[in-house]
Amino acid sequence: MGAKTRRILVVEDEPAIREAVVVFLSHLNYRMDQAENGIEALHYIKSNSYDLIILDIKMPYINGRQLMEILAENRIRIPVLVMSAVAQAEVLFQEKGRLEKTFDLKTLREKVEEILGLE
Amino acid sequence: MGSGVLLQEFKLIRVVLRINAVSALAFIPLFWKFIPPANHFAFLTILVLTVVYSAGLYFWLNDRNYRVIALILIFLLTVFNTVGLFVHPLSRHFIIALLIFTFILGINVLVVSWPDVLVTNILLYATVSVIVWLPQTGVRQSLAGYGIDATIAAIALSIYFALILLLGTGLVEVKRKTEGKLRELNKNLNQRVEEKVTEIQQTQEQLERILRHIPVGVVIVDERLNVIYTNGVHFQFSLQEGKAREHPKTLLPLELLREQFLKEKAPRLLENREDLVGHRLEFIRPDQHLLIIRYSFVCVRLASEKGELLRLVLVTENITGEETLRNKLVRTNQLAEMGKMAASLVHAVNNPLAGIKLNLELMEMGLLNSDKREKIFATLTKGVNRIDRIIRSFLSFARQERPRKQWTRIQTILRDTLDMTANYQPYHGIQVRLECDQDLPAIAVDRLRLEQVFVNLINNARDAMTRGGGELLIHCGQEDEHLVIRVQDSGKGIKPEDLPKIFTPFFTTKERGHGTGLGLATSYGIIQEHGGSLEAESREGAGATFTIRLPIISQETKKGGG
Repeated sequence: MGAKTRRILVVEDEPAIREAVVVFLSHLNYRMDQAENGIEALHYIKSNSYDLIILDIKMPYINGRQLMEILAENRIRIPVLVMSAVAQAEVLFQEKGRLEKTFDLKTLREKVEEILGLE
Repeated sequence: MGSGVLLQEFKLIRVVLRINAVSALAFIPLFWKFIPPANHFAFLTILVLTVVYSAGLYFWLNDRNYRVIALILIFLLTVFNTVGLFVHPLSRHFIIALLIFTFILGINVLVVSWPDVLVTNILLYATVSVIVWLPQTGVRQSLAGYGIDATIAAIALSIYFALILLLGTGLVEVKRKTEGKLRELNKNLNQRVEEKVTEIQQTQEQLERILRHIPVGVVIVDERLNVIYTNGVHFQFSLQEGKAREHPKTLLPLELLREQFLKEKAPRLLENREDLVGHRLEFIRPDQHLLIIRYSFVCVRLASEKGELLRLVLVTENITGEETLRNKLVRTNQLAEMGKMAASLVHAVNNPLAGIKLNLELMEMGLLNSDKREKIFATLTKGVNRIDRIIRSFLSFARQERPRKQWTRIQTILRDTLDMTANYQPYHGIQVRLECDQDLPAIAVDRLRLEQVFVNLINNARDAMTRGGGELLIHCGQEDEHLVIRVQDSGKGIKPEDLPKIFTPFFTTKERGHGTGLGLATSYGIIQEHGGSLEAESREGAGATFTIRLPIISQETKKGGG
């Protein structure tokens, strides 16, 4: 797999989805962190460097879109894989790919590898 | 002349004619013994003819034929008189009587003054003058006895008669001129009246034509409910021979309007002088199509010579097309709403569903060890329950059941709801106050649904006051014909941009898993079903107030209306 040192942050308020993504990607040897909402995510981003953020859009306090705006303003250029419940026409800042709910694990893996430039 | 003679002239003539007749009759006892018996016949004849002439003219003044006859009589009188006087020498008393008589006739002529009468009178007076002057008549001698010269007397008489005749002619001229002027004025007046009448008729015709061509039925009735005008349009409705939906026994809309409204409602409207605007009636036509009519009664007061007149104007309008279009729009709108709701439903269900799906996959791949498995199962159960809850509330929202209403006091419902919510989850740090005005009337509501509304509002208020407690105030009172219930909290309030969206299905600001986004939408629907309204007011950070208005219907009305 060759992805041992890649570090990924999952931001999602639905625990079932968040934990499943973390379990699955850990199994693929990614280093995983998880945040329940945008504020928690910002704390993680401040203190760690990530290769990818997997981000839900609809969240309380700071939603996915607002989080990406904050990243852009602070020139933090981390690729983002968006998880959204409905098809959104708009492409967001730093959006490298999109997972439409409901997705499966195979698609998740493909998208992640595609963005990180892995085979 | 003739028909042009004025009424006032007639009156005057009649007065003179009366004097004529009375004076002629008075001559009989006055002069009888002074008249030589030889001249009695002539004397009587003159007097009788005078009376007949006067009486005849008096009664048949308007009759031109009689006037001609009367003139002939006068002429005969003159001739007969003259001849009679030639034959018998007359006493001086008789001569005086004759002079008085002619004097009265003279005045008569002055006043009557018809040209045809004048001609006869010239002859009469000329004869009299000649009688006085001629030596053979004996008048000369009689006058000489008084020391009067007959020639001078004849000339004086002639001048007197001439003056009378001239005056008479002058009066005739003046009268003719006045009459001419009057006739002219009359003519002008008639012409103007005619013009005005034509104008009014034209206006009326135009109005009627317009009324006949507008697609609105107009019927006007008087105080006794007699139809005094109709523009015929309502017959178009009646031609369709529909049956009224609400009054199936009545056949035609027109009959229905007559029976139901002219007899029942119109008297009350006329009495109270009020209008009845914009009511609708539905008819089913023989082809089973619906015919919808909107009708209004308008009371109109008209001033007239006999005082105030009341007219009731009934206006009927076929609004079937309009209503059909509106229903279509409503249906389209409903479909669009359903579409939106379906999309929202998918959105709301997607999250828990995605979680379940991913975890099932993990299980299938054997990636979950036993200690994690339990936790995951709990998560999955939660997710399934949430989906279940969302779909249930969606169904209850989408279901269009009629509410089961019963007479209840709003205080009871509110108190029970507060107890229920407190049992379910105690009010930590929140002060709850329920204030209800005295003597609030009972209302007909679906108790369970209304409880659902209050639970939703109370839960929302509680959720808004999570940090550091607050105050929940529920107040109910009466405003006009409405029962007004206010649910007020001191929580964080609603953002201005969210306020317009709070009643939209699946809109929620709550954390994921805490709200279905259907509570307020459902409440809104329930209040609407009850014919009421639900409104929200809020300032961010300063709490929110939800106001419910429910119409108060008296129990009698309710029973009467079925």
